[in-house]
Amino acid sequence: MNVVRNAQAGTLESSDALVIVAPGKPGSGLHIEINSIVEEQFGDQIRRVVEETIDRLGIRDVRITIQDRGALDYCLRARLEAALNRASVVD
Amino acid sequence: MTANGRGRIRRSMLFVPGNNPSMIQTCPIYGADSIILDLEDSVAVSQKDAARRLVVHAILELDFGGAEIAVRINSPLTEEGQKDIETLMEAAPSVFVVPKVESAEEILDLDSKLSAVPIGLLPILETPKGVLHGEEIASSCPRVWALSFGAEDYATAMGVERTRAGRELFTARSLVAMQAKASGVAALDTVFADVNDEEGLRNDTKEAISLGFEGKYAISPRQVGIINDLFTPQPAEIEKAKQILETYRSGVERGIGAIALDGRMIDAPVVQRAERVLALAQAAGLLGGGME
Repeated sequence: MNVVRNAQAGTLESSDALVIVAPGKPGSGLHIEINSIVEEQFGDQIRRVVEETIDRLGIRDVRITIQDRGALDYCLRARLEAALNRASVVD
Repeated sequence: MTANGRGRIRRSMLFVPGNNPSMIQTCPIYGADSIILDLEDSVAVSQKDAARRLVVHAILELDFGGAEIAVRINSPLTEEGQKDIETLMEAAPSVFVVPKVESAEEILDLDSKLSAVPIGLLPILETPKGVLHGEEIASSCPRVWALSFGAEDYATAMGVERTRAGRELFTARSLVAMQAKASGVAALDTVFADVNDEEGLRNDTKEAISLGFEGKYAISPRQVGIINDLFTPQPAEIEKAKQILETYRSGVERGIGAIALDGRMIDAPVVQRAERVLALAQAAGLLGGGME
């Protein structure tokens, strides 16, 4: 999977997250920005979910912004996959 | 494909919008026998892809307790429906609720796509053509676990207004219940659309029970308790069912072919109805541990 355009998925409703993805420059790797009401308690967990998903999908250079409203892991994974699918072409 | 999902108790089946994480996470607490994660009418066309990912991960990662997990897909005759089938196979919910089915061929085509994946099918008949082909749809393959009726689209297709009394639905509802029974599957009734009208829901559910339906769709958590209560046997019915089965078993043990209780012969249909009453009572937690 190769991220070629900006895209987003999800909402700012409670228990959801708005995930925005954008292509990174070649070799720039993964950049994550998290804006969450529970960042102090769950920021590391959110990062882990993002890194696992990116790794599983074989994506290298991408910028990801997450506006979290208390989304559980399953929801974060789903929103991230949807945003990445919208932003990508399959290799 | 086995038909082992046919005997499951489905008094209430609660629709939950498939793109709403808050509602998906809280739906198990309302006590519906089945939860239907919806990808069809409650999801905007622009959000179908996101809803699919959410429903897949919800099924794979959340604990829905003892509820059966179903997914209402878009019609398999549409592009969105084909994507639903392809995507949801990885999560393998118990059941696909299939809207606007009009022929046995649609079910057989879906059956071949699902191949060995053990997903049951609940077709909704919601057009005049679908209602008229109910028996062949229900009998088309063992994967069909129940037949259900959808009133809103049916009324639209007939060009009639839905009324509180529901007279305009009587023939179609009766036909669907009859076709289901003729095919050996359960009959599930349409939604009652006014979530603020509890009396209307009670009357509509009683009407469904009187026509032979064994469960009903719900579109609000507030409807689940009322529907479950009405489809759950009363204590006197449960007691009577126990007496019937005890008398019948005693007759079988003594080698008596025909036996009576309170002057009424107990034959196979009477025994089957008694077993059904106790199965419903057990599903409602009224029998304690095992079936008595």
